[in-house]
Amino acid sequence: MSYLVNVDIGGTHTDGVVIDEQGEITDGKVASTPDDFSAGFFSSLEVMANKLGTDIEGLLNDTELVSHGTTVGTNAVLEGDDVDTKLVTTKGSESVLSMMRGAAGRTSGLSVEEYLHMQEVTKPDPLVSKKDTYGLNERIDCMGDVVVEFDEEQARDIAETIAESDVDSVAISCLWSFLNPDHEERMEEILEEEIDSDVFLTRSSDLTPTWGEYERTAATAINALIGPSTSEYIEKIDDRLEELGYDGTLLVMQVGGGVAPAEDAIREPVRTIDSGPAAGMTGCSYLADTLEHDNIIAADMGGTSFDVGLITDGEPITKATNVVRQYDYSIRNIDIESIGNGGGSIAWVEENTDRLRVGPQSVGADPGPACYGQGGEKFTVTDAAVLCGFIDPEYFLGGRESLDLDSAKAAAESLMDATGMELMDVARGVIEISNAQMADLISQRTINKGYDPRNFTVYAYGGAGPLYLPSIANRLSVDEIIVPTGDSSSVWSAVGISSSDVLHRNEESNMRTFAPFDPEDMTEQFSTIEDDIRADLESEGFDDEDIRLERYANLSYGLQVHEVTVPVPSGELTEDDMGEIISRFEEKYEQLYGEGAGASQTGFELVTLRVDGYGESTKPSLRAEAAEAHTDGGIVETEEIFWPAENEYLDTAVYYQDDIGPGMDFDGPAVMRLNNTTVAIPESDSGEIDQYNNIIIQS
Amino acid sequence: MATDDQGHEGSDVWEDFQQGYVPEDNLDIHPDLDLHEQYTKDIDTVTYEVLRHRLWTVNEEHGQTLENVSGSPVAYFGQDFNPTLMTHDGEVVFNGPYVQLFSPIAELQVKWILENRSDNPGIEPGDIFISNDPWVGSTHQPDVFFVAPIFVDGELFCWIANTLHQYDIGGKSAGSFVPGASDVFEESTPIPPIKAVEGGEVRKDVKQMYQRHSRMPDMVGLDFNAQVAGLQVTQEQIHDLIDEYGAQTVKGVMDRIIEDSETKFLEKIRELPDGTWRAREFMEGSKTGDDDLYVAELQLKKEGDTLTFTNEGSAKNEGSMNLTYAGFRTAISCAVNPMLLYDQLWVTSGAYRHIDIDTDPGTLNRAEYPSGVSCGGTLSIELSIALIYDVMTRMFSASDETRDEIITDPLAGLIVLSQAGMDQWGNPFGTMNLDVMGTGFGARTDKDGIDVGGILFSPKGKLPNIENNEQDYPMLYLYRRESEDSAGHGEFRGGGGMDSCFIPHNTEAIQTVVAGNGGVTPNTRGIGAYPGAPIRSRTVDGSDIEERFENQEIPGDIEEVDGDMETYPPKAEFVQGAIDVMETRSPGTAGYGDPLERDPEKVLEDLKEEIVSEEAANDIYGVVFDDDDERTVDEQATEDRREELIETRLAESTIPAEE
Repeated sequence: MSYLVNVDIGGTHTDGVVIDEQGEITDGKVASTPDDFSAGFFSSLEVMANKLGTDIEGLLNDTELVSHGTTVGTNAVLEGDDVDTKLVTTKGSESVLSMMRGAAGRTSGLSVEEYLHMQEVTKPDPLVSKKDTYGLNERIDCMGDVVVEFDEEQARDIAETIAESDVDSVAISCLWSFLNPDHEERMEEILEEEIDSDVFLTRSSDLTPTWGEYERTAATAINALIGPSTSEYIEKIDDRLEELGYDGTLLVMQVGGGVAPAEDAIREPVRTIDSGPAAGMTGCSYLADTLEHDNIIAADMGGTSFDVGLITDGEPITKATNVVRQYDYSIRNIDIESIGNGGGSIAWVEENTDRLRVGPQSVGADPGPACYGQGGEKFTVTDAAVLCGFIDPEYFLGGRESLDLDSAKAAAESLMDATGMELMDVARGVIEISNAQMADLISQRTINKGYDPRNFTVYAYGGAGPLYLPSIANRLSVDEIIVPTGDSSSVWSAVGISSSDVLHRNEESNMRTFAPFDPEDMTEQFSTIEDDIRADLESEGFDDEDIRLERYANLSYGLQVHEVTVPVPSGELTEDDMGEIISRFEEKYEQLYGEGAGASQTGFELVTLRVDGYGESTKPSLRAEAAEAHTDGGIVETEEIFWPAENEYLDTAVYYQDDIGPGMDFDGPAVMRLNNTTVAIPESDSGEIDQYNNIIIQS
Repeated sequence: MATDDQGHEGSDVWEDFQQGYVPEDNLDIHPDLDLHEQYTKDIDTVTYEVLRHRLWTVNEEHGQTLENVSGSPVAYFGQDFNPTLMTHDGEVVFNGPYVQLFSPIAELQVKWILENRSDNPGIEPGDIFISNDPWVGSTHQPDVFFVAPIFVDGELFCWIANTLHQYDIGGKSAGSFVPGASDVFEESTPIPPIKAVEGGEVRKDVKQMYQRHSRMPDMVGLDFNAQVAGLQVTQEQIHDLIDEYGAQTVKGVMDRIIEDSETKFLEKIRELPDGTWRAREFMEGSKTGDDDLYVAELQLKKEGDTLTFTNEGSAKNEGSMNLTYAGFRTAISCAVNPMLLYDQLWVTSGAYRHIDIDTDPGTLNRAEYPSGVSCGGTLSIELSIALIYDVMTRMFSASDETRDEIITDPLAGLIVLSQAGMDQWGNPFGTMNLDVMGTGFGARTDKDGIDVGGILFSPKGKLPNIENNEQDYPMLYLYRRESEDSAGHGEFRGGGGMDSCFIPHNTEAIQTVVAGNGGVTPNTRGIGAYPGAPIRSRTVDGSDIEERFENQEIPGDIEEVDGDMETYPPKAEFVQGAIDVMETRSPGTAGYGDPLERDPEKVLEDLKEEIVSEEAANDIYGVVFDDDDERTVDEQATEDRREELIETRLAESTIPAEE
């Protein structure tokens, strides 16, 4: 047997999956262990090993590849790790992190209701305080020319001062270093000479050579801040795996969509932030390739949030900056938008206006929704689903837990009092409002960005996704919803990690080059970037046939700020290619921003060249065992279930895990109560389960 | 001078153009225009919440379409725009989260169009009106409104509008911001609402007339397309909603959104006693070259559920410093929204139902034609916002319920820097430097303000990176940082402003126009604490910066540089030569509470982060530090120093009336 083992650690749960050569998935969901996340990692392995009738060593002996998505970095930055971090920057730019580009610092990443509540908003605590920031006498300008020579003596003094302090980590980020890294590199050399070798060093021109000093410096400082603890964590897992007999490479999920070998991941831990949702998207991309879907709305609903990403033409949409703790930072990432709307989102009534509201606050894992019976008194979306009958209180999570219906009812009382609504109206209302919020987010991400949702398929995953997304899809006139791999959709991010290739992505930005572009120059620039990436991948052991390089160019119109990414052919570029690049740009610009939006009379500017280099790793086979077709779903029981959108009780077919399998057809209204998730198929829908165990719902 | 047309007169257009349009409670609309006035009150809680969220989303998407199609740096970086959704008679249902000032004012545009365009040229489905007339409903000429009616079954159902700041719309200074103007004839000629799109078709004649105003017709043309596209996309979405839920329900939800905001407003107002609150501040110079001070006064009278603003004692309108009725009216939202209606997504219309404006025409805060108003949208409106905050925060102090909501946000001033010349790439350039966004953000009653927190009413307006400015303009920054001691001192201090210091780079010189206020006296005194530091702009001409660079030295402060130091009045024009170092200070905001009550540890923290100087710590906060390497608070010395300061205060205090 040869397994792929993936573990995805989230804030509340650690999800593991083992995928065998036939595509059979074994899952291991355990509680996360924030005091030492590696404990959860190995207990997930243990759960899965036991299910497979072996122990961890046995499992790892048969494992080809272990991949890991971790939230350790995210936690470290959210909780403000206790790491003594210094920042070295250009003199005069020492306030770059505290100023946070003005209003952005009090609004980025917050919901509109949060940032409008101005009695409460603040900027976050500094990533690096000003007393730990050092200004270098050196200056480079926007052409990359040196205006003030690097002051060796002062730099040496700064390095000595830093060396004398209790420093753990140093970030170096100077103005215009992405155009000319000489001064940053020299500072790094001096620091390496002066400080202990175990101090973690991050240089902006190495990590993220991108235009805009705030976002670049924030990325560098975040990397520095979380570097020591995250690298220690990854090394610990790596070492322990080796002790337990695993002789392969540990791959770590990256927010840009690929994985990185542990030794790279520990240098750039900032790329692990938000990598969990990115893994889910990568999994969708992989499945979309198999199912020949080009355009996907990836919709992930868990306990606290609802995340949406888009795949167009088979590729996840990425963006250049990300946000954590209100800091915008420049690390290219799969573009996923999130709102506080999950199964655990709290329903409440606004004072004076008596509006019924849902979220963004949620109950978290402890105490959880009222129906968990763990003392939670807040009425949540999950409580509403239990009252409606979607979830059977006696058969929660495949019968592993039971739920407390009375607590859910009791929690609803304050809402009934405040709104004058009946119990089931409250339940209906909470689900309808929550669904409407999710539908609005999807429409913002599609319609508003120039995409018609009707041309998309929804992939619904996360513990709560398959229950609500089919109804939401109807609202958006999306015809097809896929619950990927059926029950494993609840651990989809973990599945997604193993479908990721090793990714090296280099950009060269801000060259201020206007059309007509010179094909020879462009070829040369691309070749330089490609050589670097190829060397990196080769050093990681990838052969030529496993290396795939993809070129992209970002263009904009002369007087407009929007950049659009277009693919560029490989090899020697020709004049024809230049024309093709521009016409692709114009076409895509019009699709995204509307007819006549582009100002071609103001010329074309080449803003960035980028190469994504992939080292192909072993992928899971998604094919399920050719099971006996459960074409009728066995003997179907029915129950009266209350459907919020229809606002009535419907006689609903109810399936359990053992009732379903590949080849089965079904008609709505139906509910599938699987081991880890619940799928709700509205009355107007029907569908089938395909050979990969994907539940395909069509309206 | 009203025209007589089948018994319909509209408003008194020429009086509007003279004194500023003030709509009556009952609008005079041509009887042939059918309004969709029916709506259902019977909307269940769930439908209400679902549709409320949807309408907000539709309006926000309107803003994003505008930003997308425009692609202009003003829209994208400055976020200097806002979309608005209004009822059939112009009450605002939702503003977008961008520049707040643009939304309440759209109501005036709609009402004026209803009164004066309903018969000729008529209001029809697919029409779009454009306008930037400050005497009808615009803050100043560069803020151009595009306004569209939406019809259902032949009845006017609702209005949508968007406003986008234009780079240049004419007038004697590039950028259409003319601090040197003596009157409006030196500025861009105001355009009252005219039909630019008729039944879905752009009128080429009108579009060309509009573009012809500008030095940059291409950019203005692109933004024209963007503003039209935003309205057309939104029109479709509103129609989809009406198809799905029915017109009566959608209108009922709109009505309830406004009613909710009214309820919230009244609930807070009813906590307060009746009374009158007054404020008096100054405008510094009516135009470039004038260094007189002009009084701006404001009175707020609260009687029952009604707030009435008057401006007795304000100076006459003169030069370019003036604000029209429309600008003053919308300025009120900048105080009411954040302090009272933050949980209503800033829907101000419910509050406006209870706000009367009874200001005297011919004054700097209610300008009569043809006084200059192009600075109104920034400088004069900021002064008015400060006065409104002054009277409102004093009023809110009268009750525990409202006191906690206070934000001491008005800026001590505002400085707008326009630069022009040849850029480093060999092209002519002209810009309003967006460093203006780097202001402080006000103190709250239980926490400090935010240093360089940005302008309150523009929550999405980002300060550009140094690298953005140096890429686009021929400048090289020596430093940009929080300005020390610029935060208004208090138990909870205000937010500090920003120092920017730069030289021209790869160019011979930069033509510079500074337009500011609050350089001599701050725009606001705050309440019971210190105001923020005023604005300042200065240069060191003929400096030794080149030698310093050669010696691998970057000066840490403009005062370290050798040369001729010159400090400018708030409104000035000059040329910054290649080796002239320039520094501007953007304003801070006021604090809250007595600085002698401030936790000394926080003062120490501010000292370490270079927000407060040791001098201010000692003389204003009364905090004394131990003289060791690791600075610590000397508790006994601090207690003594604070007592000493209180005694000084008592000794120096006089009662003005008895002097």
